[in-house]
Amino acid sequence: MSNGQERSPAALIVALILIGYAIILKHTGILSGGVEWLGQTKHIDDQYVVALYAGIVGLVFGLWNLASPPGRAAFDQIVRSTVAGVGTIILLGLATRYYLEPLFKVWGHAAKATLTFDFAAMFGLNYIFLGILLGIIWVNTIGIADWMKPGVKTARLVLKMGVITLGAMYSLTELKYMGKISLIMIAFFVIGTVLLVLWMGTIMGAARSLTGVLSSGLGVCGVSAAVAAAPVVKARGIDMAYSIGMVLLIGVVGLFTFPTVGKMAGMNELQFGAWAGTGILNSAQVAAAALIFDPKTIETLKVAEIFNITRILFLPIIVILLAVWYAKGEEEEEMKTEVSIGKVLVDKFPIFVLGFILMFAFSTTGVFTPTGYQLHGKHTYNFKPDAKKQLKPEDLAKVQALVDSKNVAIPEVQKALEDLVANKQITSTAQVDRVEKAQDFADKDTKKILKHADKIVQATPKPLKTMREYMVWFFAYGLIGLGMQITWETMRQAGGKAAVIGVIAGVAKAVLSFFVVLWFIKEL
Amino acid sequence: MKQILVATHGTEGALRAEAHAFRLARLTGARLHALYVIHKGWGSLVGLDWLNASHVRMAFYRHAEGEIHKRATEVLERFAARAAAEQVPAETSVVVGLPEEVIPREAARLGADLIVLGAPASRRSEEYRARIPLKKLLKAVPCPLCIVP
Repeated sequence: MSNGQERSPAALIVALILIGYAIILKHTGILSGGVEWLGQTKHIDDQYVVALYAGIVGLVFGLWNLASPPGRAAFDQIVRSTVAGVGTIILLGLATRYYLEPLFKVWGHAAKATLTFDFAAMFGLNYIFLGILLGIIWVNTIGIADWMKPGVKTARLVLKMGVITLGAMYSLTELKYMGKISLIMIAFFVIGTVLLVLWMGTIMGAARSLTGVLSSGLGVCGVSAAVAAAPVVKARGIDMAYSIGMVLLIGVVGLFTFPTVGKMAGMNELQFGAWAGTGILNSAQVAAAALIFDPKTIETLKVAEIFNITRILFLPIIVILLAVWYAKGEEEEEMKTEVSIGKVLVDKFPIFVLGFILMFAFSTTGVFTPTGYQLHGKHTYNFKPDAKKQLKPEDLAKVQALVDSKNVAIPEVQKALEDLVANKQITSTAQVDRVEKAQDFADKDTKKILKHADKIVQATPKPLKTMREYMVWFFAYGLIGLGMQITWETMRQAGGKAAVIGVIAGVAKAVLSFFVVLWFIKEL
Repeated sequence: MKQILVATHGTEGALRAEAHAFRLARLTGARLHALYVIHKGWGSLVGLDWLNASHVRMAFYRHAEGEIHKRATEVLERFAARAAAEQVPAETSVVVGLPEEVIPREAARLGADLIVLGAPASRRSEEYRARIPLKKLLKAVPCPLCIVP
């Protein structure tokens, strides 16, 4: 199918498996025992919808492909020939999210008594981790069959869709704060790593083309940066193989070790997101590490992606600087590179970042925030009275005690607390700020209650909830597909001076950014 | 012996194999055919790149392909020059694929009486994917194989 000429039943078979699975899961009860044991009964409908709809679409294209093989037309190449691979990745996504992750959760709990820790939680063995691992094992054992290849390539596009959708999840406050610290950290670490690699290359006598491509890969955003820089520094075949192999190898090690180290160090979402966004070499693996560390909320992913996007924005600048650096160092006229700054900036600018910015801009207009919801600070609030969520009498008694103590020196804060007791919940954004301020005057228990009072009026609007669910699927899909691109064949190319420089620069970046994050970044 | 196939990447081991092949050709009057196999796996190098636009990836492919072909041409031109100097009849070719598949296939196509290769080096060479998986190759060769130490 890769040449777009062969008749293949692959898409039809994958579609029938998806439809068959949906029917067996929902209507026969054959799997219900296992599903219940894994604690996944509440997700049967989600799985049913995904498998059934994907299966129906696959069935239509599968029959079409069987009747008339995809040709060379754009639609055939972009849509029809990808169906079998797309369906296979969806099947792997279902398997990892609803079976493998719960299975490891059960094993982690079971082994806790013996090991004294939950290994599944400690190593972040969730569906993202397992999906990538499955992808890596698949490509390095049975390989990617020709009928799957076009579908696997869609992972890049879907991952970009995930990042664009993520743009809707930020508030202006968050973006301002994260943007500021990411700009400082990324500028320091990107430029610092590039300079370190260029310096090491010089003292080790490495070829300038090797040093150039390696500095881009290690300093900016991994394989993508190496690919962007290779033509401008006239990298030789062996330079590219050494550099990309090394960057990939260090990136994979980082992907699987960062989440565990972050948990052991007790990092919060902001700290881990900042560390992963700075220290992990390949930008796709940044999202993966963030979701391995924190799969339940998307707070870590949000931080990590801001750092990731910041360094992606550095890519055209670094490519220009490397082109100038390379041209200056070459004596032979034909080796000199003509640098057109405007052309490089336009060529190497990742367009999907504009989609992310556009989505964020839409989000700030309130288009995803229905009536009744108010965006304030980094959260969305809904102040509609809800008896189920209001503070309990014993909690209200403690707040009343704080009011009565007259410890609260600010009159409007005192008034906000009195209103809280009267209404049993916060009722306005102004009160949100004042109740937060009141925490300065409260004891430990009352502080907890005031934090809880804030939390119960936080609410995510339905459109954003739906988008979040899609987004998580986009990331899971994209990362499984990218896992299928991590081949041992490429990693074993790592070697020569690139290996020495890569290990020193990669480890230095990871370790230094770890301490910088722990020392300077606290909480949003 | 009428036809000898020499698989070369221009590594130290391959240069020794070339020298041996020239000796055999002079002794037997056989024609030489130098084959440079470009490993088809080089395209997978960009596998994990997800953020570049397709034109950036295409620029990389064009550059990488150009570099690899440039190196192949250098190696084969040097071989052809030596053949001309030593008055040994010789041809050259560049084929993209897996060496363990391409070498037996080309040997069969050319009707080669002998394949000559350099022995695997203990240290990795500076050539891209210069190693040939001998076990796989041995199972597929259609004629005697000479590995030059």
